[in-house]
Amino acid sequence: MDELTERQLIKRFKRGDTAAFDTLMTDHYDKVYALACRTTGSEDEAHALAQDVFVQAYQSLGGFDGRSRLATWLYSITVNKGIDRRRAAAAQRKLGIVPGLPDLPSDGRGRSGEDPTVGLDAEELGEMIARAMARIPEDQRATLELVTHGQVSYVDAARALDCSKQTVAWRVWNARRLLREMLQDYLKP
Amino acid sequence: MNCEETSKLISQSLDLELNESEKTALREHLAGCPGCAEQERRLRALHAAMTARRPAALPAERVESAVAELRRRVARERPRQVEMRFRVVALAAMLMMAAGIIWLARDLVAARARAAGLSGQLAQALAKVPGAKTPPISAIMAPSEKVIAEQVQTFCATYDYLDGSLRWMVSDDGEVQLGLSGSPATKTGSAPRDALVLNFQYLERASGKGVRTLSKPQFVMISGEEVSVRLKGDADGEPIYRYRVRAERLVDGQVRAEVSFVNEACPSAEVDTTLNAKVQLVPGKPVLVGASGDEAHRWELYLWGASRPAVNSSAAAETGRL
Repeated sequence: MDELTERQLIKRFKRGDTAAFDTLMTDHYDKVYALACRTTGSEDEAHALAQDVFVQAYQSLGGFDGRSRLATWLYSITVNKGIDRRRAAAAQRKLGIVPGLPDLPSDGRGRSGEDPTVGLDAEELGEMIARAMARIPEDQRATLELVTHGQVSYVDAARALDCSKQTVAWRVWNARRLLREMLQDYLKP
Repeated sequence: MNCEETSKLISQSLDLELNESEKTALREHLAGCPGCAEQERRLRALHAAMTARRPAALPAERVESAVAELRRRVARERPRQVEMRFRVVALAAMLMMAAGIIWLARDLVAARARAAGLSGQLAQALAKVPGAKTPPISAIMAPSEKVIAEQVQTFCATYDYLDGSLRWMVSDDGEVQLGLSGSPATKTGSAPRDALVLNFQYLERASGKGVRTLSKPQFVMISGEEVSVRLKGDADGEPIYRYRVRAERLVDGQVRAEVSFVNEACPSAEVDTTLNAKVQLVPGKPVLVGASGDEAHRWELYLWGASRPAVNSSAAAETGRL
């Protein structure tokens, strides 16, 4: 969908044509779902998160000012709702309702020196990254997710997260620094 | 360009955020610095691994069924629209708000002027750092004091050579004081209204070793924002303890504080110290935020402050220096 068509649909929705929202949902659902998959690490959770995102979008689209792309706006709702879900899950873990994330392997796998990724396929490395991501501060994690998975520019991420472009750059840099330190034995240069 | 700056440019290059001159500078540095070139390869591997994990595209029927489910959900919702019968009331409210905004705009203009002054003073103060490279002053120009506060925090974290030497405090008459450790304090303007002045102390009791305290004497933060508090060990080789403190002033005047511990020696080590406490700020009266351990070895965290921007640290008050 081109930008002009998207703007017209948003305008129609603001005038009360709720059918326009159907078209917008259909066009953006898979992208929001993909980001939700990365944020939650689970298809079921991603489905629930994507549903929540669009329900909020339906309630709030009337106030969308069009300064950023609609996709960026939806991504920012996704990462913020993802943070809410993680906090709720963390609170449940503290109460012992659900188990915590498994720890990073400590069996020395990947420490061969010659080839740090020995015995680690792409899927396992992906799981390691997901576990390491769970250990970095929320704001940095959300910003990295938005920039890396949402492919949102620093300027748009700054608007979406209500901070400065320099803050976005710093959060992304620091998040990567922490990930690199945690995963240095597993990252093949 | 040093390796620290290069590290930041590497991160930005992965996100396609570099201009041509930055790309050239990065390329030239990497060509002559094996350490940074190695880091660049590792970060590129990390980025590739993260972006390679694309979930499979959803089949059209899955999208359709999800959208149908959403359609049923949103059918029960209503977009937030103003009903006709409320429009007269809303119009009256808007007129009252407009009057309020005109009133507040006078403060906003003054705040922007102070923010510009704050940036200028910061530039002058930083220019006095021996051997420091000229910092990107444009990066700390900001339209409001709230943003200035955030960027000063970011700035301190970004430029490690300034760590611990940049001070931003509020005096008892509500003036912001800015400068470098050991240099004369510079008054730059009134304190933001939502500033909180806090003290932070770590106390460790170990049987046979007595009591050890590490303190952050006084720091200023904006209500609702998060700051990084670093406490340096009191002996050579001691680690730096770093906490993230988020505090907000509640409507009842009390302050809710959330404190989490960051293990710098091993960032991946998870420490179960995310503490939440609602504390009444009483000048000079430490409030226990959290404690752990046992009789043999116990640590405690205290937080206290003033209900409004208050006097600077006693040393600064006596010497006029930060």
